[in-house]
Amino acid sequence: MSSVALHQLSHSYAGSTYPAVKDIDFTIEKGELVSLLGPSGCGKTTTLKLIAGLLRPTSGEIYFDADRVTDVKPERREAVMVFQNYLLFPYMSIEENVGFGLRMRRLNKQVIAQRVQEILAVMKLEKLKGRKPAQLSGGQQQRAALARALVLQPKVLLLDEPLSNLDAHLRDEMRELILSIQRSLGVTTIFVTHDQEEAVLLADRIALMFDGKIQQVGESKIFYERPASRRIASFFGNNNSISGFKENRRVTCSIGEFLVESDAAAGPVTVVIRPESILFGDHGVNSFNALVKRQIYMGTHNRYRIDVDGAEWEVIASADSGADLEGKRVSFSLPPEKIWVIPERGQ
Amino acid sequence: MNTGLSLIFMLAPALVVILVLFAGGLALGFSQSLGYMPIIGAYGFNLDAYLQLIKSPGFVPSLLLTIFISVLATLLAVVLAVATALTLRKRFVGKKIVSFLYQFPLTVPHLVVAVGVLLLVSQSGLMARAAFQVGLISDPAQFPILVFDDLGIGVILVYVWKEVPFIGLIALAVLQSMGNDYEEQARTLGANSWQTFRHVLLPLIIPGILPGSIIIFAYVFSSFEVPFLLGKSYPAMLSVLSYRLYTDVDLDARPQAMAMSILIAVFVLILVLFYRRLSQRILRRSG
Ligand SMILES: Nc1ncnc2c1ncn2[C@@H]1O[C@H](COP(=O)(O)OP(=O)(O)OP(=O)(O)O)[C@@H](O)[C@H]1O
Ligand SMILES: [Mg+2]
Repeated sequence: MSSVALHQLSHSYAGSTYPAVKDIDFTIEKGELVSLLGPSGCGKTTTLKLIAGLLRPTSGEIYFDADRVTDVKPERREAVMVFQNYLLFPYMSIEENVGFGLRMRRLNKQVIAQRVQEILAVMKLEKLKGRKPAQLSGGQQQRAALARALVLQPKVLLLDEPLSNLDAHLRDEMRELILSIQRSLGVTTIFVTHDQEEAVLLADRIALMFDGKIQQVGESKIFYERPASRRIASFFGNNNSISGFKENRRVTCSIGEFLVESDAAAGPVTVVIRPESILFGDHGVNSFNALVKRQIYMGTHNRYRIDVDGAEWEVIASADSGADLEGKRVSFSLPPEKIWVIPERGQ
Repeated sequence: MNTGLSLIFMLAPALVVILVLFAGGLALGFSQSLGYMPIIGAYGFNLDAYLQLIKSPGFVPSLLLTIFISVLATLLAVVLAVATALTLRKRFVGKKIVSFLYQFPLTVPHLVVAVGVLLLVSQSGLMARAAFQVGLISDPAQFPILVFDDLGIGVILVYVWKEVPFIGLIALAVLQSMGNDYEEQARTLGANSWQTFRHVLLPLIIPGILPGSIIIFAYVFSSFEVPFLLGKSYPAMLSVLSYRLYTDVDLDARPQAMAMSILIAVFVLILVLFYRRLSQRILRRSG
């Protein structure tokens, strides 16, 4: 197990005019499980390949613990990457696949057999060990690919969207399996995904990436409560935002003036509020009127889509709060302590 | 009418042609090799022709030479094809031109290549004369003997030049269709470049190039025009012997010519089976 530190890491593919990954500064602690989260094409796979040594950075450095590994060949890094499409070698049995890395290290045959046996048991693959990859289901192939990586007891485990090819039910099962194995082995793990829910369910910390840059790092909670940009809020499913201008503890925007508790500097800002923080009715402060466009009963709560001066916001309120409001103009309040203010830098 | 039956009817014309020309020809040749030639009044069914052939002093050297040339030419062609395919799959400046030149030999007939090699590398050829002119050698006879030589180097050269792109393009297609993923996977699992080639790339390529290399082997083993032009007259490749016997004015040589053709076919079959077994062993041992 080692920590992984990325310093100003950038990579441009040959023939490409803009970098796929730019100035990444990020440290993953020993034994930590970090999700690298971001939309398609943002540079997640590129980052993993840089850490694995499959790509050479255009600039920047990579450290495993105190060791600089930027120039170390992939086979000597002890960072093992598991690809999205499993990539089991088709002409080898599952057992041979799982033992591949150990054989490449020229370990003693008995040692190999024993370690392969152990990991096959952990991954519940014993009965399938004689089969070829083509004779396995997607979930089984995924387990075999994981076993092939884990048997090497890598310092760093790099998982590239390991669940994206599985159906919903299997995904839950595999996610829990990965989590429990990661916990018991304590292997430093980077888990790439484009699904924020998956990231939240798995990771100690999330690193959110857009356009080749890491935008925000932290526990999942902060992405909901204190997103660093409107785009991040939106990526985490919150589109309740409006632009305004902040002065002292007031934000002026197109639907009026709000009191906030934020210490953000004066200037142009974006105001974000979570759907469940918006209250029905006039609570004396920060109240405004909006048209309820749609009301959806969700069992435990109601979900409303409201028209706030042209923007569509979402409100979540408990289901017993009432009558059919669809098509009506209703007053709402924003509790000042629940309003998140994002300064708009340089825009 | 059920589909199986209708399929047979649709295939019938082709089947008839194949049966008559191939099986018919084979049967005719085989019966002639057994000495059944009513035209010259021979009605025997015996193995005389085979025995005479095998006992003739030139047979064993010819057989060995034929095996040597066809194995070496196929092996060299496969090795060079895989090596060049591995290079050609990368990006580099001038790749289009190199790829075009690479495929060029495919369009040139064997015969033309053989004549070209003759004009180029024989002791009275262009290269010998050039070497003589610039003083590399003092006598054209000092130029290395590459045609009409004991080991059939000229013959092998022609086949290698012709067949490298044939196998190489198949290998290239296989490599390109599978991308870099398997290699990257192998590397991150701890395989160095050689191990990645040996245990991952090679086993993935072999099934693709196996049929092509078998075709080449069978072709080199049995075709006669290149060794006829560039080979020594003794020992000559089996195909050349067969041709000589066949064109012999004496019709009594005909059974031997046919026996030789049948023998060539049998040898090819045996060696191809052996070759397949060998490749499968390599595949299995890659695990
Ligand atoms: N081999 C390559 N050559 C050139 N550009 C590439 C190459 N691979 C990726 N890119 C580009 O680099 C950027 C980042 O790609 P990357 O594969 O890292 O994204 P990703 O976040 O993994 O996306 P996804 O979720 O779709 O897998 C993309 O714009 C992509 O088009
Ligand atoms: Mg990716």
